[in-house]
Amino acid sequence: MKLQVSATRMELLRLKKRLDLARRGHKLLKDKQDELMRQLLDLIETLRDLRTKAEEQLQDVYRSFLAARLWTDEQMLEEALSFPRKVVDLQVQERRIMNLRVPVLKPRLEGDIYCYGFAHTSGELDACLKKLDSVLEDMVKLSEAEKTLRLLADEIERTRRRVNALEYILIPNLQQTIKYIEMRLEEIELETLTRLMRVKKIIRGE
Amino acid sequence: MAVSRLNLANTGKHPVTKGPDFFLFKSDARYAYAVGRIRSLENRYLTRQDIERLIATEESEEAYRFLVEKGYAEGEPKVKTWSDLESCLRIQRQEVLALISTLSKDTSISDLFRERYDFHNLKVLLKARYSGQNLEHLLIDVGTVPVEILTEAVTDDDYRSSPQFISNTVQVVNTRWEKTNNPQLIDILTDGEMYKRFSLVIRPFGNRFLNRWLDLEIDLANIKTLVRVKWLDLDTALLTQSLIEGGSIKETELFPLRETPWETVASFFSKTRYAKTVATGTDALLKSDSFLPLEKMADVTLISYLERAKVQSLGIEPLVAYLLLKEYEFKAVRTVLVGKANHLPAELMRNKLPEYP
Repeated sequence: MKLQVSATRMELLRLKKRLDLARRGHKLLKDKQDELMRQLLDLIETLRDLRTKAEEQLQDVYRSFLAARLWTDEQMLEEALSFPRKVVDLQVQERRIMNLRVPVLKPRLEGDIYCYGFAHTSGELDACLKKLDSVLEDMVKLSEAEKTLRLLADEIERTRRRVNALEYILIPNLQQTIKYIEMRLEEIELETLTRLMRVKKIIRGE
Repeated sequence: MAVSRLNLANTGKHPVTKGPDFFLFKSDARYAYAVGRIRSLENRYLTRQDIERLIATEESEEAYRFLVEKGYAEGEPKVKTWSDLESCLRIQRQEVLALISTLSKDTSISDLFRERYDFHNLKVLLKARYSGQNLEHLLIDVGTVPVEILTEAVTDDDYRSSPQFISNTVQVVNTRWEKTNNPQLIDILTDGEMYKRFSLVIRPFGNRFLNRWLDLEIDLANIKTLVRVKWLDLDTALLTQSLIEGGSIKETELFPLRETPWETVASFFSKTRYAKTVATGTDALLKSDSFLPLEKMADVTLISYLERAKVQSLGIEPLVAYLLLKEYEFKAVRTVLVGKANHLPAELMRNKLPEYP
């Protein structure tokens, strides 16, 4: 679709500059999109491993917890876990992937995970918490990777929209407008030439 | 059924503790009616077939009807899900404790088993106070002190209306809390005080059966604690604090086992009545990371001991044994109910079933 501009030489120059800029932008964005895509595919591989590992570990945790729960009164079990000692302090930093800010989660784990006495609790609870303790860091890594993946996917989507807008809308529109202005200028030039020739003829008295 | 249960000790299911039973028991004619009543109730223990029937039930209402048929919590109005059914166990436990209190001529002994819940409630209230949470829903109102009075006492820090053991326990816990701020010590110290209370009441009472039961209970609790601390590679200081005084095996003999190889632990207990419990339990733990075999073996030891009270015709022993054995039955029923609520396959539920009378 042609842009609503006046068909002047100045406008033509301006549009040509814009077209040049759009083409360079398009190339850059296309490169960015490709790189983000590559990062995304790498991350998907890592994420798949992390998720499989975390899910297996968590299943194990739940299995042990269920075993502890089977043999312990609900209120006694809840009492044992009601006042935890372990403190998970999560530090959130940032890193950049192609100018996209993604989080880096650094957990600082303090205190012992075993917060209950041994006389009225099942050993299965120890097994459960031991497994849970070992899965905590993996779960933080997993959440970091999943958040990064989501941000990457959003960024790819945004970049693709920009690339498409440039490729299918702005650049063709600019090209079309430039072509129109060029044709219009040619036409004006021809008109002027014809007018001059006519004037020349009148002056000669023909 | 009662006859076959009496014979269990000889079938190899439960290990037989050596020694003549007549040495354990002393007749007490005051318990003639009580023992008769308990004998009739013993016939209503759930059998393997009953537990199998419970496992086979499809709907929670069907399980509820079955439990009611077996004398569990008739008239409990709001049973809709598998989880609701656990309330039947609470009611049944309350009924058993009330029955034993009524039948017992030695209230200090029968109250002791209700005081367990006072200690539990105290742990809940102290944790609620120190952590600033509302843990009211964790209180179990079957102790000797009503939960309202205990809550008020802990809130106001005024224990004049509570028994001496409550204020003693609070004092011990408070002193350590101020120094360490460690919530684990609330449980450890309260449990220690509870066993001290048991020793304080049972030892002077002079009943051999109860004395030996307490020895077993403390020893097995200490063995499990030792194995757990060792397996988790926790601090020796924690083991020192967690071991309970007053068992037949001195704590000082157990401390060094924290640092020795597992084989040494098994060989240490090989000459004791806990040889099989420790050997089987630690072996399974090291192979499969599961404590269930150790806990199952510990339960087998206690159940086989408690079942010996069935030969006693007059005395408090059958009452105490009934009360404690009922707890094992509740454990088995709970396993099925929780298993059902979590959609466990029947075979897995059977594997996880604890020992019961």
